[in-house]
Amino acid sequence: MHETTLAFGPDHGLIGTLTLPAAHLDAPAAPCGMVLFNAGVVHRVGPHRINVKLARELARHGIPTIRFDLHGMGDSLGADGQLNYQQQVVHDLQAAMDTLQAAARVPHFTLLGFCSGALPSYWTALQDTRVRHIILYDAFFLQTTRSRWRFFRVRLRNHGLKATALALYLRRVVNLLGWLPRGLASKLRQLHAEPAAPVNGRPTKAQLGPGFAQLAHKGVQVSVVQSGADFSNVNYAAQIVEAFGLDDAPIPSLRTGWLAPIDHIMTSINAQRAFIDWVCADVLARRASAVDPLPSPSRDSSPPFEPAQACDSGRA
Amino acid sequence: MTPLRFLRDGRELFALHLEPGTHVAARDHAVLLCNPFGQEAIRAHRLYRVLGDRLAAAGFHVLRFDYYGSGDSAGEDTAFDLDGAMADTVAAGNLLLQRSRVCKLSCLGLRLGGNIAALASRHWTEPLDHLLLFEPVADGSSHVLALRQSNADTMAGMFGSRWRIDPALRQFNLPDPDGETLGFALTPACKAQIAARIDPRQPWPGRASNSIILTPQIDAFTAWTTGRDLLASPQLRIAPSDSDIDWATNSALNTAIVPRAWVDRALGALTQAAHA
Repeated sequence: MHETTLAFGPDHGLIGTLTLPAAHLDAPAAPCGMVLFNAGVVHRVGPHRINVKLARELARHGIPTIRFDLHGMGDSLGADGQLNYQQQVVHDLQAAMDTLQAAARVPHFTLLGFCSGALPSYWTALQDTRVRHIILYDAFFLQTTRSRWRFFRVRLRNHGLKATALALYLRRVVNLLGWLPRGLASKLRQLHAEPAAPVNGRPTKAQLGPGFAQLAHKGVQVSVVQSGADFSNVNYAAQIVEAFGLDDAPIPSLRTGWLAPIDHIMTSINAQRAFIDWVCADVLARRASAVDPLPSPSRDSSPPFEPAQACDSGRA
Repeated sequence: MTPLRFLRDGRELFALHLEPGTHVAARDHAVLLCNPFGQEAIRAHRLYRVLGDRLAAAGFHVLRFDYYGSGDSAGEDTAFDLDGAMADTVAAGNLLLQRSRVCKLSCLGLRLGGNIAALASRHWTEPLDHLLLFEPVADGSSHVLALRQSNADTMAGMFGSRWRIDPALRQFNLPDPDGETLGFALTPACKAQIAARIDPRQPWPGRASNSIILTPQIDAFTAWTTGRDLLASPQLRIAPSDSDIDWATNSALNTAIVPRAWVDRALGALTQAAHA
């Protein structure tokens, strides 16, 4: 394994580290490389250095990576302001792919969208045919009726039926009754309303299902994986597919995972191990299907996916 | 801005050399920024980025770097220890002096990074020009206990209702309450070094013409530094840090915060020294 840190991009303002598998001169190039970037405001090493650990594990399996800071994040320079956020992050991810492609001769890429990194990964997959796989981690609010009920049961087990707990439940019921007329009216309005106009290219949860199908049609595999700490959000494995409305119409290239014992930023060492193992297994299982020749030009000229209204799913 | 990877006894370390800004006269003075440990280093990254940029814009050569077993440097988390970090700091300082070809070196460090800078300062031939310590650790043994408690509290807070009722979850995430803290391994050797090297019963380790300590523990550092070697640390000021940031937390809040007063204080101290 070999690591090198470099400045790259049109203005040499992006800072990233390449992790390349041990060199074998006669070895064929890996079929795919992986791009790791910022999770929220954390610089390129990732929360608890997870990107470094993941990169080295992937290198042991022959997968080269680049971990880098988007413009304005970590060690990278600020953007020049000529592009909007969506355009800028897609350009940055393309520059990272260019750099890894030149260093490791990989034609295809997996992008890891960690939390707020999910949308940049999704946008780039829609625009650049080199992207064959995106992993979207802890990016969506996915509550379902069943998940709310399961969460309530856990709270009930935890708080019991003590006086303070009963007072809390009573307060919740009163709040719910107060919300009910407004909430129902809002739901009814939504049912009869025209689809909302897109805002900043951020798809809603309802639009992501068709979006994933569109990506599948383009040959992009999608993995959606959620941690288990926020039990109020996701608390059973089948919930992810159900929440996207895909339980009746599964997308073959969509794989979901629920890592129940890990928290959002995989704080414990065991949680880090579980996350790395899941991602590595997913990348290795899917790389076999990412071997078609690269079309030219690599950047897709087809019109981008028609996005829709403001995101109800992304976390900062 | 030049990213680098350099070797220290076979250990490959990442560093970022910030050259003096193009619109300012370069100073004969370089500043080495020393990271704290573990999660505190993750949270402090933005502060170090801003400090580095501001110092470079003021004409200083600046080097930011990661100790072995941390950040972007080589090594597993378990390879990090205090003695190794101290030796890495000396090597990084020498690299900065070599690259910048300046005569004066200063070190700045937050939390455990301050202690590492102070401990490393005795290993250069010439005394440091400035030693700037932001909320350094006042007692290593207590610090190790505080890290343990912070980890336990964080885990309980992360999982909310489930933590209390799910023993398997607790066993998975906290198998060894002493072996890790906030996502980073804390080896027995590292803990022993922290306890032994950061001990207020021992002489103050810093060696610099000027030392500034910003801390909420004024009394503790006053007691530690009162009997110091005045030849090694002739000028030493202790002032309140006036900050309530909890650096040892998993919270995303405050991660990008930069205490402006600290940045101004560092710039003021380093630039005034040059004018004096």
